[in-house]
Amino acid sequence: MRFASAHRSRTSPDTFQGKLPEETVVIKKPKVRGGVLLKADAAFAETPKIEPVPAPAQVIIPLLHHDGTPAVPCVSPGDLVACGQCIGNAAHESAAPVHASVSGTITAIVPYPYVVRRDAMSVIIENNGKDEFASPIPYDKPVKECKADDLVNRIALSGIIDANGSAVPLYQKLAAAVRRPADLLIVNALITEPYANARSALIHERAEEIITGATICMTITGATRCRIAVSEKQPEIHKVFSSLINAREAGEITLAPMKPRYPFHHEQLLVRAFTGAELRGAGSSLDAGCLVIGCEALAALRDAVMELMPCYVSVVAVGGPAAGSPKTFRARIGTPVRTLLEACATDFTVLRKVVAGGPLSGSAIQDLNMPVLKTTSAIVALDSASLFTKSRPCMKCRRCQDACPVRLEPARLVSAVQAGDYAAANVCRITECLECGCCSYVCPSRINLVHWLQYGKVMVKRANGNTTHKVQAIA
Amino acid sequence: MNGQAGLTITALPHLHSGVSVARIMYTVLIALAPAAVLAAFVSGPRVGIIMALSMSTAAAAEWIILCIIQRRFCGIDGSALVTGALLALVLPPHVPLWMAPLGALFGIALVKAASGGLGRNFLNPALAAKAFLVLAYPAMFAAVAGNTGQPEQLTWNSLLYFCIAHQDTWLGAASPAALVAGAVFLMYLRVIDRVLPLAYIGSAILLFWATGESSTLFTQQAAIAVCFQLCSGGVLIVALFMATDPVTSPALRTSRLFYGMACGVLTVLFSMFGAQGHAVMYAVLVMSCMVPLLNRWCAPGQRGHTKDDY
Repeated sequence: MRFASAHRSRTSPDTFQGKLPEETVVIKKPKVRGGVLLKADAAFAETPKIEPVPAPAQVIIPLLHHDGTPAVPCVSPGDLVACGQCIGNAAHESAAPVHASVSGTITAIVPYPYVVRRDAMSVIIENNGKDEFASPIPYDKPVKECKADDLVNRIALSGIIDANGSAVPLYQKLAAAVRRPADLLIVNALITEPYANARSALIHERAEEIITGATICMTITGATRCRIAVSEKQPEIHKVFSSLINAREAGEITLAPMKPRYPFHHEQLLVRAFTGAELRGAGSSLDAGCLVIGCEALAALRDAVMELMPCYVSVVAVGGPAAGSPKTFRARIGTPVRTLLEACATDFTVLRKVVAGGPLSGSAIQDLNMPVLKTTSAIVALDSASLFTKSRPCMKCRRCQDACPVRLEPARLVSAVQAGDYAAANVCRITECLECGCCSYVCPSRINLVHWLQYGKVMVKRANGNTTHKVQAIA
Repeated sequence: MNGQAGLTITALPHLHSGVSVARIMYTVLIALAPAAVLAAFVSGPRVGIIMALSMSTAAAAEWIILCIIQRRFCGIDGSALVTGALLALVLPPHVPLWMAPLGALFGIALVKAASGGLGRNFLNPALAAKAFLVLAYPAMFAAVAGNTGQPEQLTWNSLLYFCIAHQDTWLGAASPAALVAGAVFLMYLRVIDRVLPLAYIGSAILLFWATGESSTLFTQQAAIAVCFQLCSGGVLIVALFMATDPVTSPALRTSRLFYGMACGVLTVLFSMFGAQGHAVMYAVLVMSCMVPLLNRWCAPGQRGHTKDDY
C-alpha cells in the first residue's frame, strides 16, 4: 500500500535497507500475496534487550490461555505454592496445564477478565518473595534416552501454548504430527507488526535455543526439512540465524527470507506461502505436510525438554505512542498489564487504548489489571491519535479486496451482514475470514470492517446450527 | 465503547494506513490538472470559467444536499469536485456557460444523491450529466459532433503534435499526452485500476484497426489513423478516468477485464452506427448498467476460488 503512513516514527535510524548476508542458504522464496506491507520505520527497527520486570506482589493466572477448555484447578485458597508448581491440570484433550509464576499463597480462585469482555477462572497468588522453584516435570531419564512420546509428555506437562494466528497447546500440535507425519517444519520468526518486536529481542538472545527446539521438534515428528521464515528486511536476524545454521548439515535447516507483509505470520498463510496449499475451514497444516511453530514456543520447548522448565514467563514488548520508553520484558504470567506500563514510564493521562498483542492483530483490553497471558507478546499503549474516527459511506474502492490475504470481498460481506443476509455472507465465504484486520487498515472510509465480519461470523455459525463459538484468545 | 479507566475498546486493527476518501479525490484532481491546463492553453480562459462553474456548483449542491436534506453531513470529501471537473472536461469548449452548472446539478442531485450518495450511484454522475445535456439540448452539441479537429495530413509528426495539444470537441481531450500522464500517475498510486483501461483501449484499437479501409490495413497509414481515432474525441478521458470509476465498475479483476473489452466493442459499434461523437459516453453508460450482473457472475464465492482467480 503506497499510502501507508500509519505510525509516527520516534527516531529514524534507517537500518532497514540492508542486504542479505551472502552465505545464507536460500532454497526457494516463499510466495507472498495479499496482506499489507506496513511502513518500515523505527517502531520495527528497535531491538531492545530483554529486561526482567520485578515479580509483582500479586499475580492473577487464568486457567485458560488459548482457544479450548480451561484447566481444572488442583489447588485451593490458602495453599502454599512454589514457582513453577502446577495449579491447573489439563483434564481435557484441548486443555493445557497452568503453573504458578511466583511462590506464595493462593488467596482466591475467582472468575477474572482475561480477554476483552470475557472472564476465566483465575488463580490469584500472593507473592511471598522467596521465589522457591519446583518443576512440574518429573525427571525420569536423560534426554538422549527419551523417545518421542516421552518428549511430547514433557512438553504437555510444561503447558506451552503456540500462537500463530490462533493459540493452540504445543503438545497437541506435536502429538498430531506424530500420528500424521509432517515433512516440513516451518519456524515462524517473522516480525510483521510495529511495536510487537519481542520476537527480535528473543532471537538475538536465544537463537541457539530456538534452533535446538526446532531440532527436537524434527526428532519428535520425523520432519526432514526445517525452514525458518524470517523477514527479508531484517538482516541482523539473518546474521544471527545463519551463523548458527551453517555449522549444521546443509539443507536440513535453512533460512527462508520472505516479504514481511502483514499478516503472513498466520499459520494458514505461511503454509500457503511455502507449499502453495490452500487451507480452508477446518483444514490443518498437517494436511499440507507442514508443522508451523513460533520461535517463542520453540525456545520454551527446548527449556521444557532439556531443563524441565514449565511455561511461566512470556517475553513481552511494551511500546506505542503513549509509552514513554519502549522496553522488552521477560514478564511472569499473571503480571497485571499496569505493572508493565508503569515500568515503561507510560503517560496514563494520554492513554486511550491498550492493546494486548500487536497493534493490528491484538485485541484492546478494558482493564489495566488484566494479566499477561502465555500468548501475550506485546502491549501497545495508544493515545487519542490512534483512535478510529467516524466512518464514512463505502466508496467501493476495493482496497479491502486487494488487501485481503484470503481473497474475500470484505466490503460485500459487510454490506450483507449489515443487511442481515447471513446466507449471502455464508456463500461469499465469510467463515474463511482470518480477522487479520487488513481490510480495516486500508479502508479510506475508515469503516471498521472487522467488527462487522466478527459479528457476521457468529451469526452465520448460529444460522448453520453450530452454536459453539470459540473464544479467540489474544495473540 | 469505554471500559474501566476510560480505555476504548474496538475491534482490531488499532492502526490505520492513513489513506482517506478526501486524499484519493484530491489525488484524482491533481492527475486531471495537466489536462485542464492544456485545454485552457488551447481553447482559452473560457475553459477555466467552465471548470470553476462546474466544480463550484457540484460542491455546493453536494454540501446543501448532505447538510440540509439528508442530515448526515460527514465532511466534504472532494468527490463532488472530481465530478464537477470531469463534467467540465467532457463538455465541448464552446458550450454556453449555464450548461456546466446545470449538468453538475443534475449529476450530483439526481444521479448521485438520489441513489444514496457516494458509492451508491450506478451511473457515473459526470457522464450521466453529459448524456442528459446531450439529450435535452441536442442543438448545442450538433454543431461540433462531426468535427474532431484532425489535421489534413496524417503523419507520425502531426500525430505527435496532436497528442500534445489540439482543439477537440471534448475539452479534456485537448491533450491526450496529459491524460495518459495523469492516468499513469493514478495507476502508480493504485488509485485507479490498470486492467480495465488497458482492456478498453486495447479492444478499441483492435476494432478501429479492423474496421478501417481493408486495402491499407497493413500499412503505416492505418496505424496512424487508428492512433488519431484513439486520441481524438473522448475515448481516452472516458477510458482512463470515467470507466475506471470504482463505484460504477465491477469488483473483480476478471469482470473488469470483460467490462473494459465490452466498453471498447460498444464504443466502436456505436461510433459506426449512430451516436457519432458520443459513442464512448453511451458505451460506458450501457456497461455501467451491467455491473451488478457482472459482479454476480464473477463472485469468487460462487465460483469457488482457485489460485489464478486473484
